[in-house]
Amino acid sequence: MTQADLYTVAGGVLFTIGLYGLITRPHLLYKVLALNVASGGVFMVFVGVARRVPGPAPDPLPHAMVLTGIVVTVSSTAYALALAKRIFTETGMATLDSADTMEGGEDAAE
Amino acid sequence: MIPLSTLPAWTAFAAALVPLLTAAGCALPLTRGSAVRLAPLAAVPALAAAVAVPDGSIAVPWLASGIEVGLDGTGRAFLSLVAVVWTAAGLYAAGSPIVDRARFFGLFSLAMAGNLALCCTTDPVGFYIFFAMMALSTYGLVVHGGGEAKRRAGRVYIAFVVAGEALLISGLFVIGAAALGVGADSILGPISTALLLVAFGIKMGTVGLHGWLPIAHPVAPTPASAVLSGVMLKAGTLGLIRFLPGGQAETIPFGTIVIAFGLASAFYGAAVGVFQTVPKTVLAYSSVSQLGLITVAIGTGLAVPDLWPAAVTAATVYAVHHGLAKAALFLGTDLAARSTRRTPVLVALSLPALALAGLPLASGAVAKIVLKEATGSAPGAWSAALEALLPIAAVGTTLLMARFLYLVAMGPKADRKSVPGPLAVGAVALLLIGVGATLWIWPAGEVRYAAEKSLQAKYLWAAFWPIGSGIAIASAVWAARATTSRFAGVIPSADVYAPVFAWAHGRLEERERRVATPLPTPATPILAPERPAAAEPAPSEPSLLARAGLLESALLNWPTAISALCVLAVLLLLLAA
Amino acid sequence: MPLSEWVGAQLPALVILVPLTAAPVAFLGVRLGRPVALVSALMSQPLAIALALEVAREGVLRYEIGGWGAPLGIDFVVDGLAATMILVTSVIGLLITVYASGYFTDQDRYRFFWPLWLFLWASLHALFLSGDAFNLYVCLELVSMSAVALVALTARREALVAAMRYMLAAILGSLFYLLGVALLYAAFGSLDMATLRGAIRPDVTGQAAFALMTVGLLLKTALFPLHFWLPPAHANAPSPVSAALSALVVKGSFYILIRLWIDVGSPSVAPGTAHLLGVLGSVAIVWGSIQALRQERLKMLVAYSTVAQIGYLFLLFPLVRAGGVAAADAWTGGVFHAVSHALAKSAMFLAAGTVLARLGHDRIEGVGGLSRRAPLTAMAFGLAGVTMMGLPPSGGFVAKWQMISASVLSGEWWWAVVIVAGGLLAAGYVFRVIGRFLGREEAGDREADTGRSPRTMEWTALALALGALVLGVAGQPLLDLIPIGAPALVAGIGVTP
Repeated sequence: MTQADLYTVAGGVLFTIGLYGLITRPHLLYKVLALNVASGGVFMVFVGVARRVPGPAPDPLPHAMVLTGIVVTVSSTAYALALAKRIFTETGMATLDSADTMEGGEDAAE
Repeated sequence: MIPLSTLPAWTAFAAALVPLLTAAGCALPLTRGSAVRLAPLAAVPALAAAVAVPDGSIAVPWLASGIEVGLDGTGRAFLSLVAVVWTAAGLYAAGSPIVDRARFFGLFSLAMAGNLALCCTTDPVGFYIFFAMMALSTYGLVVHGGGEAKRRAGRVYIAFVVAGEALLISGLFVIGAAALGVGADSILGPISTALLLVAFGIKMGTVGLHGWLPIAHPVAPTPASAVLSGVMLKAGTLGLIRFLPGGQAETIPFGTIVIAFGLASAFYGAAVGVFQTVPKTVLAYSSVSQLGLITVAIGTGLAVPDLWPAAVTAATVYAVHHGLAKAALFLGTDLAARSTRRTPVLVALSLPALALAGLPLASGAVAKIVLKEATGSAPGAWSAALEALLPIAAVGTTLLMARFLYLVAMGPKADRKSVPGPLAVGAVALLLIGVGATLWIWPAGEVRYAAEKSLQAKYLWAAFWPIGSGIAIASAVWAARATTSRFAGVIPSADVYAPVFAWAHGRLEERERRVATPLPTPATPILAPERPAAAEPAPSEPSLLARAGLLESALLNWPTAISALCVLAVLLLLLAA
Repeated sequence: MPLSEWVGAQLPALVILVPLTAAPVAFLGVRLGRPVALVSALMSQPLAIALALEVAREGVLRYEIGGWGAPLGIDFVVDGLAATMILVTSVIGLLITVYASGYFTDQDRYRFFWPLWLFLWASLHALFLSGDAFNLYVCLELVSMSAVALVALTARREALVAAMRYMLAAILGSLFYLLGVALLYAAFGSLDMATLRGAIRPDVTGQAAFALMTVGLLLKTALFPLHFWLPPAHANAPSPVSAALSALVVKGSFYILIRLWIDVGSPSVAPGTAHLLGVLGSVAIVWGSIQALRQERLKMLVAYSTVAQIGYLFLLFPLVRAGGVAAADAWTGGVFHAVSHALAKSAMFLAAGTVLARLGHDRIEGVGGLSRRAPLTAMAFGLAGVTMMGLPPSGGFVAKWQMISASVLSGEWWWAVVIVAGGLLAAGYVFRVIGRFLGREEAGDREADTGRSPRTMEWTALALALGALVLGVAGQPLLDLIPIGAPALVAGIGVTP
């Protein structure tokens, strides 16, 4: 197993761990963190994939993609955290069960 | 540039779609007033087209992926009938106190456009489109005015309509598939024929499929019942004529079944109808019975492919005759109920009533002879059986009509405020003239021949004796009314369907009551799956829908949902490998 | 170079740039949002129409951003499918914008609607034009982020939690997709769709990549049983947002799916996968309709109707495998269904929004007699229902006609049974509402009615519903546009009328 393979496999493991946390942890902060772990796993797979070209220098394109991915993840994490905080201030809880989403009522057009 | 040769087809089709303008007019506030006034006359251009535009059809490839419009002999006959009856009903409605007129005439025009246009389309897709347009807008007419009874009737109506549409489109698809050469014709042909027979059978109220007729007719506003029974049922007849593979050997096995169903309808309608207590319900059952006779004609054409053209003529003539007479009777019911002097109306109504029974000189006598000519060569024992049974059906019709006239005569006293105006009277008069005159001015040779024949002594006797016996029986029943009146109303208006409808309405309304009460419904478990369920009164036996709701709550639960995602991911990975 | 020529050459970039420039401008001032959005919406119309005409005339267009070109540069590809989606997005977007300008009365509180909506619009256009798997990922994220923010706009607790569910599901979906992209690159060394089309070959890594990307996109498209996030998000969002989400956003991820499987990976469509997607689609049709039947709120009913209608789109996968005329019918039928559903569903949500604006609630049992007080709204809902049921004359009918004929031609007639049955179930939930609209009003219903329904709101909903009907009678130009540049599996064969 080469070093690149190790990265790829570790990436897969991280992704699975993230998935597991996302399912089992009810608290929203954990869920957001679990998604971060999973995206870390995906980036590791990209790093491993960069070794696909022969020679000492890796393929630069996956690295560029990882950078883009990190930017996307940072902004979505920030937004998810803000949303979780707002849910906590509105309901006093930070889970997906904080409100009955199937009920609803007044719309925006008051 | 439209080539000149296609002009007739275009003119007919455009004339048929004129009511769309009044329908749109009724929807817009600015034009509402004038559209409501013009809507009763919207079928007049179509009538003119039916009289004046020569035969011919043309393909319209850009409309709904290709339809074909135009007129032929059959289409022309139906178009004339449809236009006359809609005009009469429209005039009658204009002279009646109907609530919410813009809405009524909007839907009325839409259904009218569908009904007129389906007479001018000669291909399955176009026919289906306008058929659906007619049937769906009629839902709005049936429930017009609102109220519990209408809601229930509307529910029954729409259930039958949608089932019919599904069967019809399946049948048309099978025809389409056969045309593309998919599958063996020997299998597809019978399947499509069967689907079409059932789909149009629903529209024609063939016994067993008739459940919606006696429910929808009485509750609809009278002009709507008149067009419903007078011409919309005939759309089923036209559909059968147009799209059954008539004249081909493959239809032979269906022939006797269709004849049997037609005869059963003819007798069943009469037998159940005489026990009814509401005039419009009696008329609805009479329609079941009369369309049964049309079905017999079609069945004969299926059983003996050589007879198909004769059968088509018979069905068409009978449809025109029944359409005019039945529409007159429906409008007359309301006219009598509103008139302070009822006797002249009753006398006038006995003309279409007796015409249905086959009175010489009126349309019925001619129609019955054409029918007899067609069925005279039915296969095997059927010919003799029909010879014997058709006059008995006429006795049944006479009894039904006697029952109807009796109920109209005994109806509650008229309310002085809604005395019918000249428009309403004129509308009924128009139809009466139609009943008296139509078949005498009919262009086709065999009809003229039958009309002359109907005056021969032999045929006069054949026409009179069923009417005479019917009147005799009716008189006997009336004389013994102390005993016989006990039987009035013993059969509910939905006959065999009554328990089914009662059950279905009960289930639906029970559900609505449950929804209306503010008890927590099982939709809540999306809340806190780990939390114990709130103590709520568990319904003793959850309905199927409630069970579906519980299952859905489980699916919406976050851990379940993401686990399902993982399972799906593994499944896809395995399938790909 | 004359201006018209320059605009013509830059069309693919301009359809994105107009809303993308308008978005930050709309962000700058409270009073700026509405006029800027309206101007941008109006400007988008001629651009989208010109793009569609250009594709209809010239065939597939390829636009290299900055002139770099694939594999390193980013390319936009405009074929019939992309042009159709952009045209539909623009038309529906304009009507939603007009509706929203009457809907959001509290300008201060909802000021962020306008920039977010314009961002969403721009990202959708970018998504439809992208010809590269990674670029699609970025667009997908942009669409999701603006959509989530729009759901949370009212800041009511139900909306916030629904937005959170939506967001977690959306991010997870994107991660699955991105993981697939990594493996795709590992297997074939390229992410450009056109290059991939030639490079694709049976390969374990490649197949795994396809599977992972598919799972992520199924989650984002909310195919049964992954629809768990859709009903709360679509029902709790403000109605113009619900309309945009149900009509356009779910179609975005579906668009990538058909690009991947049918456009790029057609030789490798595993029969098992195609049938699994078809079966899930069928279950979605039945299950979504049943759930719609039991909803008590109008917007929940409409949202579940979306769950059901999404199912039809997935019948495309088994049906195109037959090849030949059947595949061509299935392709145009499936895309046509996406288009007519987009029009009808946005009409339904906008009509539901008018009901909410008038009554302050959308409980179905409380809308009795509304057809007399708000006839245009009731009519919009009813006409949209005609398309949902697939009755003629409507776009839904044409779409179903094509799909049924594909299933009959391919010999897999059971899909036709599902399609017909789905129409019956749709009739059930549509008539449940129409029956109420036409029915009697209960005591207090009239008093609860504020009567507030500006013309902009009533007429836009009606226009969308009518649009869905017009597709049924005059949809031929669109049926001709859709197959332009269609994938090899369905191309080269004329579409049966």
